[in-house]
Amino acid sequence: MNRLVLARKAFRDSRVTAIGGGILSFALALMYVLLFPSIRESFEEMDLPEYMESFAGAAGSYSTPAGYLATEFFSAVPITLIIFAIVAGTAATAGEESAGTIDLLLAQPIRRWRIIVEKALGIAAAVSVALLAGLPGIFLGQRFVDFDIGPLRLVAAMLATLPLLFLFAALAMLLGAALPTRAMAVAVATAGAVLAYVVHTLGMLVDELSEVRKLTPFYWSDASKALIGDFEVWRSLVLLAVAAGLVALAAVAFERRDIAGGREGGWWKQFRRGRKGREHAPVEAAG
Amino acid sequence: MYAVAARAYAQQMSEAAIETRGLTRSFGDQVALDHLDLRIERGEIFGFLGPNGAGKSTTIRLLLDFLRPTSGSASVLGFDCRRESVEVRRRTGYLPGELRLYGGLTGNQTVALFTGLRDGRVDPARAKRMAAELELDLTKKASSLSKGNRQKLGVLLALLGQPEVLLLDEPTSGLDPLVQRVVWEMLRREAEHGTTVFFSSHVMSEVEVTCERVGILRAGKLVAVEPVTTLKGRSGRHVEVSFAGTAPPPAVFTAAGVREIRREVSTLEFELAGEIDPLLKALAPYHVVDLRTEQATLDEILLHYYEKEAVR
Repeated sequence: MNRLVLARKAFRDSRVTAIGGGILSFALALMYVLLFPSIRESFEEMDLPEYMESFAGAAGSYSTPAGYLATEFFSAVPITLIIFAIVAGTAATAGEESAGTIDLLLAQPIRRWRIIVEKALGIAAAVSVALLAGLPGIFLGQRFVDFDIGPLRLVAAMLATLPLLFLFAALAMLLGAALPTRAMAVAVATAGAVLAYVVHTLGMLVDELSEVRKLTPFYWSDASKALIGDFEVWRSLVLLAVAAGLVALAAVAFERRDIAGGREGGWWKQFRRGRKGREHAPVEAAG
Repeated sequence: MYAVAARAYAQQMSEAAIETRGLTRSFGDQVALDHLDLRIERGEIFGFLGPNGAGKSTTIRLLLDFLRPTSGSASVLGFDCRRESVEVRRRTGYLPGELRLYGGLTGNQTVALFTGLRDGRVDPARAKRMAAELELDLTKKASSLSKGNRQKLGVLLALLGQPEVLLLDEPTSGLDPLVQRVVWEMLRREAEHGTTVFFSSHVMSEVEVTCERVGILRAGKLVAVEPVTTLKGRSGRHVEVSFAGTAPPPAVFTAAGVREIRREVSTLEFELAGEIDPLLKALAPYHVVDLRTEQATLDEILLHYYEKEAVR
């Protein structure tokens, strides 16, 4: 009955991600599908540059629903939801620390790793709701326009994308547990995501980056292949394994750290104040 | 097997409620807690005193394994605070000095959350009973509660798991005197049932009424551990005497245990240690218009200890 009480709380705390991201995902999916006939018409008349085609990946081009979804929905929505995932991930421990609520939580008879693992599950559920809300958006759009792509392929594309979001949420949790402030964790995780995305997209065009691109999570999350019926499950499993590894590292980082409490960067401020020398006032935050 | 369990239980019962051995914590070059050796018996109400930054909260956070010691060790009810921290926290109720609750949760939801984290080993009727006693509305969101009501909820949460040890960081701060009394009655009742209460405070009247012993910390060092009666005896009180006409020379009263004397035209101000009776007898020959006495504040008592320590 009391199982996963923290996972449920983390899901509730991530409702902005679940609801906000879900509405965004649903609305964009519906809009993209409804606009498909006119967009296909416009693009058929023009000769697309190589870089535009390359974004559609294995799915090919804008003229097919698969290529169109790969280029539009599965490009814009994941990168947006990654930001939501990062915000939710850093809220897990760094957010509780800066809010000061971590004290009551840590005073309970639970291991710290359990806090990390349960929160990771709650956040993963919230992120899943946000992305999967795109599916009913696509299905609804299909009722109004000719958009021929099977539900299994759509689900597969979602499953190829979800681990990408999990990975960035897990990275955010690790940074939140390891860095002094939540703001710092958000900044570093977001910078990492943007850098990885840029390397990934440029790597599709530039030979010099084609190998480096394979190091970015975006390379391993290939919705375009899933959209044409070539879902490579192992790629998703690689991403899931990395995400799980990051959660494990977050648990280790959180387990090892001091919780000075009360205010953001408490332990960091104390540490720095301590390093300034003995002539300074006693540690205020440690009372 | 039962014999082993019984031995473990007996061993546990013979352990102190809280014991620290050379407990030290540094932040960089700064020593926040310096070789703290402290033993608090089961069922004791122990006050932990000291100014901000003395190391009171650091001690509590080390006991709960929020912070890790630089050296030394601590145990609660015989359980090591590092290796067996879950067992320590299972038997401990904690009220943070800077209490922060989940603003979006109601009192009932907060209680349900922490009940869940205690594996449901909480009597649901107990929370309701305590809320009624504290006149606390558990249907309101924490964010809409006044500071006093938030503190009440914090006290309730600390008591939720029927702890054997209570670690309370300034438990009655922000509460009006009436509620302070209710809270202390609750805590005293817990103590009567064998719960050890370890709390930090700045309120002398609170320490006087509730504590059996106090520990005084200064800059991370334990300066004194004394029964409250001893502390009060040494702390002294202010006495202000107004005379009809010119006040007599202060030297007249030095034999009456007076420590410091300030003189105005018709008023004398004393710092009195011990009983007041010798002073009253010394005043008897004079025409006293008014006599006011005031217990020395906790700060003054602490100052007294710090000065003593600084001289050493």
